[in-house]
Amino acid sequence: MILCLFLTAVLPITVSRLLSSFEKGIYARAAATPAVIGAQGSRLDLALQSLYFNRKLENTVPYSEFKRVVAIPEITAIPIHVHHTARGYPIVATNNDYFSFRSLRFMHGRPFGIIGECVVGASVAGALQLKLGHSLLSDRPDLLGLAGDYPLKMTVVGILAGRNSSDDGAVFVDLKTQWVIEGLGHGHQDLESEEQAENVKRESDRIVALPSKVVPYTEITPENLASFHFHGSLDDFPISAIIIEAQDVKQETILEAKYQNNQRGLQFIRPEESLETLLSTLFKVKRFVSVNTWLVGISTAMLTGLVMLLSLKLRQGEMETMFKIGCERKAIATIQITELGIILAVGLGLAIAFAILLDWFATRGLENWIAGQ
Amino acid sequence: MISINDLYFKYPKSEFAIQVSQMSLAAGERLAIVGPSGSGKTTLLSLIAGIETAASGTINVCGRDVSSMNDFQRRRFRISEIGFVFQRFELVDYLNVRDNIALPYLINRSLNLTPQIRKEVVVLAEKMSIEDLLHRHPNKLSQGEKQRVAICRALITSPQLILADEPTGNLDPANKQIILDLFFEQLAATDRGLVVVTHDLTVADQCDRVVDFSTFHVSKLGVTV
Repeated sequence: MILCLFLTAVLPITVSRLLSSFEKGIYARAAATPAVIGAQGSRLDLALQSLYFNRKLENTVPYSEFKRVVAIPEITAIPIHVHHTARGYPIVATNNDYFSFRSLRFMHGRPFGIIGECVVGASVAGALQLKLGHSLLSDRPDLLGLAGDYPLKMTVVGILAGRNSSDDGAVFVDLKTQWVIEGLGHGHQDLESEEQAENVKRESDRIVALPSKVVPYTEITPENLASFHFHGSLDDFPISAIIIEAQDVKQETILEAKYQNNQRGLQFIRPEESLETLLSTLFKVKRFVSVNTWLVGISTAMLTGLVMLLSLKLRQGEMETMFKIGCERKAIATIQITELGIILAVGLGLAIAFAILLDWFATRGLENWIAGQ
Repeated sequence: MISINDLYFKYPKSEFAIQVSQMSLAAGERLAIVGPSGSGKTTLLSLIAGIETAASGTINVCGRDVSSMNDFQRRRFRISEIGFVFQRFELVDYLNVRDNIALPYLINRSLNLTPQIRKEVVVLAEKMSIEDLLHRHPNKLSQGEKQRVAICRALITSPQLILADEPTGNLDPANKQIILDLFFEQLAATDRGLVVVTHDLTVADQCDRVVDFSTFHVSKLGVTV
């Protein structure tokens, strides 16, 4: 009977708890991101990318748009650009305002200052055993590409404290660092210096060969930092989205109005509203489970009641014996009620304990899985 | 030890009733009640034990008027002064033999299960030759072993009066005599009175007196003794 009660109670309690935790978590993150400007397209994709960094958007926003918005006095604007990964973790290009916006605390180190520096989330640092000063290579998206966008060797200058959010699993860099990774900017290795001369093999005056020990990745060092440059105007360079926080509703509404029927292919969204579709599906699941729970719960209660009545009937002789040898009827009733109470308490207690345990382990996984859909 | 006068009892919503004008039992005396089934023998035991309440008349047991006691007082009286042996043993299946014997102490807050009582459980078990079975449960016992446990349970509170309802009714002939010998041996060692309801003349033979319900007036309403 305990197992029966446990199995009946565990599913609805677990689902309800998981969905509540997930709903609270995803809503909290969405509520903390008042508005986002991005390219026209799926509002849900834009919302999820700005919150969870887990998808690459086809269309991007020009950097000039960010410059235009950030110039508005009553508006706080933070650029976000997610395009590459480092050891599987998303590289999030932004500026240092992001850390204060998300109230992220540094466990070690400092924010990034120059191109090539990165700040890693707590989960990234833990999984890759990164410490300050360690290097982290960006992933090469196309191994067979001839264009030659080589991985960038970044230096870890900061490690964030854990927040149980998607920030824990991200690598934060400056926008220019990301543009270098994308190949929009580069520096030059001085192969003509005496130190590098041995790396050069001259076949003839016209043919210069470079052996394989010439490094196959890009590394920004204090020595070559000055050589890094970008071709073209930075205003045209891409970013994925701009997080917006207005001082008041009026400023937010005015800004939103500028993007209604926007000719430049941009949109203004509120992540909380955009996630309604996703969450409405979850609510339907929750409602279904609730209805199912009521039906199963009523059946279980009836079955439990029947089993208890049968048990009482079978034990009537035992109870009568106890009365005959001197036990008061009230004590007999107390024994029976206590037994029933123990069965209910253990069955439901196990279900609740299991639900709490599962919630603790599974909430993050569920959030990431659903956000990744 | 027992004195019954002008007792009248009738079950509610039933035509059956019993009337006992006078009946007595001396201390240490053994009384057998025989008679046809349904004649009220078990009912009389229940009235003596205070499980049922008579409509009128007096029942004095061990110097106390059971018929005038309230439910609480009758229960307290029953637990301390009377030991019951049932026909079908009526042991508790989920308790082992040790706990079955000590059951009166387990279910009554008025009795304290002291270390002395725990030792007494073992002593009684030894006397009934079931000391090796103390950790077993009733479903692992033979009929004879179960009845020995039931007898130990009846004796553990050192009652003044033993009421036995067909104590050998479910025993085979071999076990019956062994149980009877052990049972009466225990009674002989003390001054306890015994009222035993039985169909078994072997049991009746070993008692001091026999009351035969079938020789008394049996009216439409029941038995008149």
